[in-house]
Amino acid sequence: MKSSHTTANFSGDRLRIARYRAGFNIRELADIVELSHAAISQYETGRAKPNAAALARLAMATGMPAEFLTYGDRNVSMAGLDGTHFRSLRSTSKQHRANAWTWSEMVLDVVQVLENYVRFPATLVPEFTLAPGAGREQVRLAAERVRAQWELPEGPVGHLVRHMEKHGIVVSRMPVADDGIDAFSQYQSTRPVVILGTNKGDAARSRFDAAHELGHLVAHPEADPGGTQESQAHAFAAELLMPEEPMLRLLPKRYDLSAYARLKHEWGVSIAALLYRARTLEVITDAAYRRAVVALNSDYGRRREPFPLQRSDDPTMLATAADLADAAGISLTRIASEARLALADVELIIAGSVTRPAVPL
Amino acid sequence: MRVLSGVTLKDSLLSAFVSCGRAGHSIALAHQNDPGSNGFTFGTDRYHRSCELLKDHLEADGFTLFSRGAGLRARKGDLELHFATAKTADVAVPSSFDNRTDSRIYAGKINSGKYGPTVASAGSMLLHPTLDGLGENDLPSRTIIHTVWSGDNAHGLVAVHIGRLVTETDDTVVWGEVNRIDRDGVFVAEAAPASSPGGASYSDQPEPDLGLEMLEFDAASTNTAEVDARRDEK
Repeated sequence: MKSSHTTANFSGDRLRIARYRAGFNIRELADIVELSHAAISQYETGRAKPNAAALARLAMATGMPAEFLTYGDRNVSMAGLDGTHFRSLRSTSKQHRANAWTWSEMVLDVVQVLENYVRFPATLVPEFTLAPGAGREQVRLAAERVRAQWELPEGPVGHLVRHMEKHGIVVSRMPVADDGIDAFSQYQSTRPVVILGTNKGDAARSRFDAAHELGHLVAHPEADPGGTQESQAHAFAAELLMPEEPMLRLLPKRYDLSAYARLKHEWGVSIAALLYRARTLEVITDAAYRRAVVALNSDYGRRREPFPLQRSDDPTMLATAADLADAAGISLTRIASEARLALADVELIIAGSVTRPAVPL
Repeated sequence: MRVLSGVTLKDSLLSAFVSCGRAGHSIALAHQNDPGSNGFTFGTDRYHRSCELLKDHLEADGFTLFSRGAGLRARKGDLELHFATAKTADVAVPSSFDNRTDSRIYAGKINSGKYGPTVASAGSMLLHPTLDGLGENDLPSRTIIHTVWSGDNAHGLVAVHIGRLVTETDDTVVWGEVNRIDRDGVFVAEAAPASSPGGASYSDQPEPDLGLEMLEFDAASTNTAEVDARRDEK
């Protein structure tokens, strides 16, 4: 085996990932491994390296294999956490985001190993950078570029996640998603990654999340959490899944629930998104939008939208690649060993990309 | 022809809606000076005559007919047809088309999914609110659409509309969708816009192939150094 246990290859960035994954701040980790706060900080910033005993204690405290901390084959994303687009509640803490972000790095580690055995699709993410002040027309053009380059049909977009995977984007579901985080994405490393939360029984919302993150990958090469990027990605998702031209013809001018429900099932978007789209396109007035939302919420509640989609857009690329590898004698254990990850984590990552039948709630 | 979103009827039946309405209005006009007739009786006369003329066409098309009070109903599968009259071609204004009658409010509630999935037995119109074990998981199972004959005792039939009423308030309904199917008293086949211009709905489209394939390697090797070497080659 390569000198994975030697501290010469120690990566401070990987220690940071391990700490985020364990949910510790520097002081908490320092207390557990009985080192000083300053020492942990120096390890993470690369100013010092731990000795073998400290490395073992760090690995044990964070629950990661010691090899993970000395795995130098793939640098973790340069911009790291700050370069990641999060679709989450404002109230979500940085610690929660950091914990979620580690998932995308582990996914990339698994992909790195799988690519030794399986040929993945080439990455083709159209580029259409949106300036902070870009308007609706620019967003429309960005969505049109994706449709054109990916040869998507004129009407509803089919299995969006599969289209993303076909064009080299790694998509995974995070089975232990934090409630406040719907999805996040980053393209700081070898491949673009989109992590979706559990779909919470609402496949339409999850499809919108995927389109939202695709918008970031297409339009926002650098994350700017405090700017207009979230609203632009939202507009991109709306334009991709509900293009302006047909929607102007099809959206009901009155709150007709059955008509909205049919549109939901034909276009794969939520009634809430359709109503919002109708207001954005000025098919209905602000007052009509508010009345419709109140009526929908009072009839069905805020949490559960009626007429849920029967098919969930789940990612399959990683699971399919793992199956192919397994059929050729490369077990998941071996993949975990080569990725220097715990087998349980690799199993979760692969499970997060298995197509599961939608179960209506 | 796709006459409303999610509702398709045969052109021959739609043509009968227009022709029977036109004939019913003509007969009612011819009888409006009969003893006992007046401006008020014209309204009901044209309705019943038009409906009587239409019954054979509906049955020939597989609809089951029944009555609710004096109103004709026709049902086939999850689709239920109601018939109504209006004073002018503008069916959106309450002065022309009454939007407060109980039967129309009921239709609006059915179309708006207010009752959740329903089970209706032909002839009895039983309505069951959401049943145990049945959530709001399915599309509204039943749709009621109205055919509206517009006209008056001066001009006879002036327009025929088909639409779907939805609730506006607890006491009123509005048209969720309504299309005129005639021009100058003659049926015109102009289909409602298809909901999916590009073709299939999102779930009916084929899933793209990922094109994953195995690379050549020595599966028996468990030597990590060899894997590392392969990585370096890459």
